[in-house]
Parts: sequence; structure tokens; C-alpha cells
Amino acid sequence: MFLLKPTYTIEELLGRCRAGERKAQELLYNQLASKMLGVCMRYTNNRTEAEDMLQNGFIKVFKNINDYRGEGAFEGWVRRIMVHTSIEYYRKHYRIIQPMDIANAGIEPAVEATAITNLDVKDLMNVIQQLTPGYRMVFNLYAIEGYSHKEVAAMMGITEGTSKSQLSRARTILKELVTKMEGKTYGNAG
Amino acid sequence: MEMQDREFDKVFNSKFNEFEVTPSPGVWDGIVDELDKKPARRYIIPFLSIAASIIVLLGIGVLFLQQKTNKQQPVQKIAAKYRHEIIKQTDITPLALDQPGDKTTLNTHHTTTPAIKLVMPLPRESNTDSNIVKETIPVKADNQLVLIAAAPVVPAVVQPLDVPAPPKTLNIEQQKTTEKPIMIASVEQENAAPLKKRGIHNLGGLINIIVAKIDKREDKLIEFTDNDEDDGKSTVTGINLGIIKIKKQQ
Repeated sequence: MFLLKPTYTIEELLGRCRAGERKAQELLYNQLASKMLGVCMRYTNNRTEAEDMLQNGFIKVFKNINDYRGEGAFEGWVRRIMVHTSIEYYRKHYRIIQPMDIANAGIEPAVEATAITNLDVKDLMNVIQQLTPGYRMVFNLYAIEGYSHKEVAAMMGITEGTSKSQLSRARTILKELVTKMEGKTYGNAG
Repeated sequence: MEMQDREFDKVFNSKFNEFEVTPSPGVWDGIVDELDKKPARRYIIPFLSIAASIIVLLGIGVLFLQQKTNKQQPVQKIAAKYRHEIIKQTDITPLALDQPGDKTTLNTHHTTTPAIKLVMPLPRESNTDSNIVKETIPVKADNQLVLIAAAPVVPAVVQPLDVPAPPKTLNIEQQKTTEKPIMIASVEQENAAPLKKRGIHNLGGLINIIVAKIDKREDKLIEFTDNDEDDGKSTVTGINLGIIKIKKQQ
């Protein structure tokens, strides 16, 4: 004989969370925490920092849960909170002038489509985490979250031109890293 | 085949779409700790500021109430106060009146005679004193009020004064015994008043005068030093918020 764990929909849990029920908050956290930590991990190269972002993000979620009016998916709302928490973390800890690597600027290596598609998500995480914080932020916001340069500029407190140039530089570095990684993979295989 | 930027971004987007990492148990504990913290800390400062505001408002309220009640103090009350003082003073007079003469008339009227003695000499005394300035006017007014208030008693007084004059020594003794305490009382009042009406020596003096116009109490809402010695600097010497009174000893 085994016990079936009761399952709740997000809507049910939301209602109970709004009433401040701690158990419902925990169930909601358990449903979304792993995915949200996956988001936070892209914004830093440090697991502890990512968990700090996750913790602060969920505290905001529970404190402001009445602000969610049911417009759009709840998961999307939580994800946006995680992204904004990560930006706050970056602005607090890493916001320094990022000098451009002039020597390599404008030289964009070619990367084969198969090279990147063959890579595991953990490898992609590894290359993203090798970016400097500024490049990583812009690449995440524009390429993965889907914000426009105008939105990225507003969120980061930079100009649109800086957003564009940082994205371009981030892509160049990532392509270099992917190519190197693929060579290593093939080298190990061969 | 070379990859376009958009395709490059799309690969990252799709690969990370379902990416999950299990957080350590400490994260949830941290969230619970933070959620259990009541926002009491935030309310400490607003609470203190509200309490301080209430105290200040109460102080101002009491101050204005006192001013109002002072203005509305009935004449009868003032009269009763002064009459009480007169009766006290007259208790001394019989010692001096132990002289030959019509004892019955003296005994019947000895309580009322000082009422005239009390009122009349005072303006004369205050006028002859060269140091007295305008501040003595309220003192006169008060004494005049006594006259009016004591009006029902006065007619009985007039007669005994017209009675054949008693020996001169009696008059002198009587005047001494009745006037002396009054003189002391009036001098005290007159000495206190001129202190507050001095010339303006600095900003403190100016504020003192403005405050004195608004606040008629003996201890003003705020008082400053008004000396030439301090190079025009003035310091607070007294605060009176009704409930809270602070006054520097002179």
C-alpha cells in the first residue's frame, strides 16, 4: 500500500498563498524552484549567488503575490521577478565599467550549426558563465529572455548602443568558446 | 554551414527552456525566515514620529487653552482674590488702632477702611516712582478693578473717614501697617515686568518681543538671551509647552 501525494493546481495554491498559508507557499515553491534556479544560474557563474537570487526572488513573489492578476502564466510572472532580482544583484555587486577588448573587437569567428546543437545544455551553461558579468547580462536578456535593446538598456541603465555592442561582443566570445569546446570534444572522440 | 546570430540565440533559448537545477534545502528555510520576520522594524521610526507629533500637538493645544482661559477669567474671580488679600491685611490694623477714640465705630469699620487705603496710594506710589514705565498700567487696572468689585463695601467706608480725625499718630501707624505689604507686592510685580521689555540687542531680543506679543504668559513659549556681551549670539533660556516647562536659572 502506498500513499498518493495530493496534487494541486497553481490556481488552488495561489488562493491559499494569498491567505498566507505557509504549506501552500512551500508547495508552490517546490513546483517552480528548480526551473527558476535554472534561470538564475545563467546570470551568474556562482551557485551560491544563484541560490541567493532564487531566495530573494521567491520572497518577493510571496510578498507581492496579490499583484499577480492572472494576466499571463504565473510561471512567466515568477520568471520575470527572478530576472529582475538577478539584475538588481548584478547592479549591486558587479556594475563596474566593462572595458571593451579592442584587440578582438569586430572579429567574429564562424561557428558551424552542428557544433552548437551537439552541445549539452550544461556545456552551454559553462560557456555563458565564462562571459564577464556585463556581457552575460545583455546576452541573457536579449538572446534568451527575448527583451529588445531598448528594454535591456532601460533595465541595465545603459544606452541602446552599449546594449548592442555588448551583445555583439558576447556572441563573438561565445562562438569562440563553442568552437574550442567542439574541437576538444572531437579531439577526445578521435 | 555558417550560423546566423538569430539562429545562434535560438539554440540557447531552446536548450535553456527546460533547464532545471534542484536548489539546496537551505533556500526554502531562508525564505521562511524572511517571511516570518514581521515588518515591526519598519514601524519603529514611524511610531516614534507619530508619538512625538502627538506630544507636540498636545503641548500646543494646552498652551492655547491656557491663553483662552486667562482671557476669559471673570472679573468677580479677580475681585474675590484681591478682597481676600485685603481681609488679610486688615487683620494687622487693629493693633495700630488701639488708640483713644470711638472704639465702636472703629471696630465696625476697621475691615472696610483699608479698602480705600489699598487702592488710593498705589497709583500715587507708582506714578512718583521714576523707574516705572508702561508696564505698571496693568497693575493699576487690576487695582481699579478691585475698586469696582468692592463697590458694595465702599459706601460704608466713606463715612468713617469723615469722622473727626483721630490723632495724627494713628494715621501714620495705620498707613504704615496697611501700605507696607501692598508696597512689597506691587514692587515685586513692577520689578518683574520691565525685565521683559528691554531694547533689542540681537535676534533673540527680537524673537522675545514677537513671542511676548502672542504669548501673554509669564513663562513664554520660547525665550532667548538678549545681551550685548555675547557678540549678538543668543541662546534659548526657556521653553514652555504647557505640560513641559524648561527654564534656565538666571
